[in-house]
Amino acid sequence: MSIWDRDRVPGIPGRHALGVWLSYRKLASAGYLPGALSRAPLKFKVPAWYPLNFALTARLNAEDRIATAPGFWLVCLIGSSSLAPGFRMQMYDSEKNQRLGDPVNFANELGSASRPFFLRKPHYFRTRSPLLVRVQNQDVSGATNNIQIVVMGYGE
Amino acid sequence: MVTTPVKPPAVLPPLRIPFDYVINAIVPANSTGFAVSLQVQQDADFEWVFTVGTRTSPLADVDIKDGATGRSLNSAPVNVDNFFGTAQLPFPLVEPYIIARSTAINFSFRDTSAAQNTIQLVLRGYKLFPQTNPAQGSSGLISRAQ
Repeated sequence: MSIWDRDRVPGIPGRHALGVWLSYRKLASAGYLPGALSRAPLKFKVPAWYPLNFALTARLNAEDRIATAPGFWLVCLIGSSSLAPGFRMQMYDSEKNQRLGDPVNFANELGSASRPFFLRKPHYFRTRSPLLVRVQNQDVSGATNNIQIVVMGYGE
Repeated sequence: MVTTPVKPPAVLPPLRIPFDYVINAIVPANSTGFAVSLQVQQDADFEWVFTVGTRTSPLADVDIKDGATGRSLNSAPVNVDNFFGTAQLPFPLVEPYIIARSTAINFSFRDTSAAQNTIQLVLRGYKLFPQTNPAQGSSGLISRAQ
């Protein structure tokens, strides 16, 4: 039972009632979203948000970890920085012993709640092995940069 | 030419009625654990599709717990700007979450802006009315209008 099930009246082809993919946002393109096959495992799962908070002064680094629930599907990445220069980040999947890319500016990895960055293929965590996140503050003013990275997905 | 009538499926899909559950919180300056409870109405299950909201200052966090199970939907409070979008750019749940009727959802807000923060959080989605029980909740008015 989902908005993805298009037919609501038997025999009459349905249409998307709420317009999830409004034409003026990038979600209008299915290319930015997990496809039907990729969304199938998410059915009947519970949405979950895992935030990480950092408060860093000029050029400092920090690491933290997220231990997700077993059977967690990472669907989208969201984040914010209180200072304009932002931060760089790198993620590491300790279950599969894989780096999830090189260090990147946060704007190239994270969206916001209004414009979330969806993984085209949700990333699966079978066990509670943590997702490691390394952050480097890019601000040099000496002020504290309050950083939040949110890993959003679906768990058991 | 003989046309065969279309047989309805054994299990009919629910009727979806657009509905918003609204959480208003006037969070005092620098307060933590400002609790607001949302009671999902008894007439229908709720399919949560979008999260939208407004706030006075982005320096605020929200924490959500399912009152029926005590289960938190987040491991720690999430900044409001990382949790809800706007009506123009709502945050979508790519797989909508169905909340059972009569469930209580407990929200806890925290402000770090040092000023009163007026937050409105909206869970936007559909009430799900079973087609096989049209009298439920609406006394059949909604079902007959479809």
